[in-house]
Amino acid sequence: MEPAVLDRDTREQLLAAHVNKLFNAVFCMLGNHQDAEDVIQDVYLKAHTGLDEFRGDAALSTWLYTIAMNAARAHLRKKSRGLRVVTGLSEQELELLARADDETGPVERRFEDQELGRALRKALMNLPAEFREVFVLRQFEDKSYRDIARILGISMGTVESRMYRAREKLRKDLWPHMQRSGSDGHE
Amino acid sequence: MVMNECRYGKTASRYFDGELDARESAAFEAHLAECAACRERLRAYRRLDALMGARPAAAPGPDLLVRLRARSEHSRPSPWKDAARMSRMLIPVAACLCLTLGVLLYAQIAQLRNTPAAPVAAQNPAQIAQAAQTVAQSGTPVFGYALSESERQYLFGDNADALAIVYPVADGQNTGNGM
Repeated sequence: MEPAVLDRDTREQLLAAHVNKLFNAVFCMLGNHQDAEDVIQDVYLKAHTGLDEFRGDAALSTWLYTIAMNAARAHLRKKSRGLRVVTGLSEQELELLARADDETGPVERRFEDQELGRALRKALMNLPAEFREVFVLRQFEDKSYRDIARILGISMGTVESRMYRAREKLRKDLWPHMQRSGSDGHE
Repeated sequence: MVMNECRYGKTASRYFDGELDARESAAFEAHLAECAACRERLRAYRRLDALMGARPAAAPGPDLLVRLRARSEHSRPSPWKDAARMSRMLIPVAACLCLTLGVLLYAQIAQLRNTPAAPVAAQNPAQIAQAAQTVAQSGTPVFGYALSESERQYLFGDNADALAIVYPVADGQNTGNGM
């Protein structure tokens, strides 16, 4: 794509097409509806003003995910300064966190009322942030390893390694649920 | 849960994600036929995938897009913002200007300080020493010059008893044949 000054409507249509997916990724990273909305607002503004400089070296979606994941990382860093990092909390603290977050977000509330949903989110939030971002982009956003490497600015080898370690940790943490569901997915 | 470790664990993860090329896939499938740990791992990955797939995508509040558009509308650059940006750009220029003025002012003051004080006439060595001390209070080097008869007459006229003049000199100034 050649750099060109886009009119306001075109800009908004381009961004609107990606907002929901970006929101989902950021929500999975932060685990909180309000935080995700705050971050998405910043991402939208940044993308809105930066769209003219977007040169099309990568797909628009890759560029947007880069902005979104950087913003999510920055938010986590900021939050960890004032509060505690969301990873590495005790079982009891994670339970409290999951319940507290139920207070926000009408869509998530319905889902989080279910035990399984809560367990999934807890397991996800208990992943180290650098594993979580790789897992989220692959699992929920269906990005290839190459795209993930581009978005996060890391090597393909690092993506492979983090994805594997994230899976292994989730497999361990969610084993009781995986047994209960008895689902083999594609099998 | 089978906890057997196999060195192809990472490869299993890449295989599951369809990230192996054809040759690698064939090699891993051959390994898979013989490795119970990797088969178990892949089964677990499929279960995990199914669990995660059951999770509905998080959606923002229904009015988020409206709010985003409103916020981007407000963030449109205004003339005042442009003026503020300009004034921010002018700060370094103003700082340079102030610095230049300061240097010029300092040079001016230094020049005034280095201007030699008026010469003091002295009639004997004791007075020369005293005059030298007075003049030297300014902190600058002192140059004393013994006067010849004609010079004494020329400079001081009636004050014909003067033996020398003593005055401060600026740094680096040639002191000639000082006393």
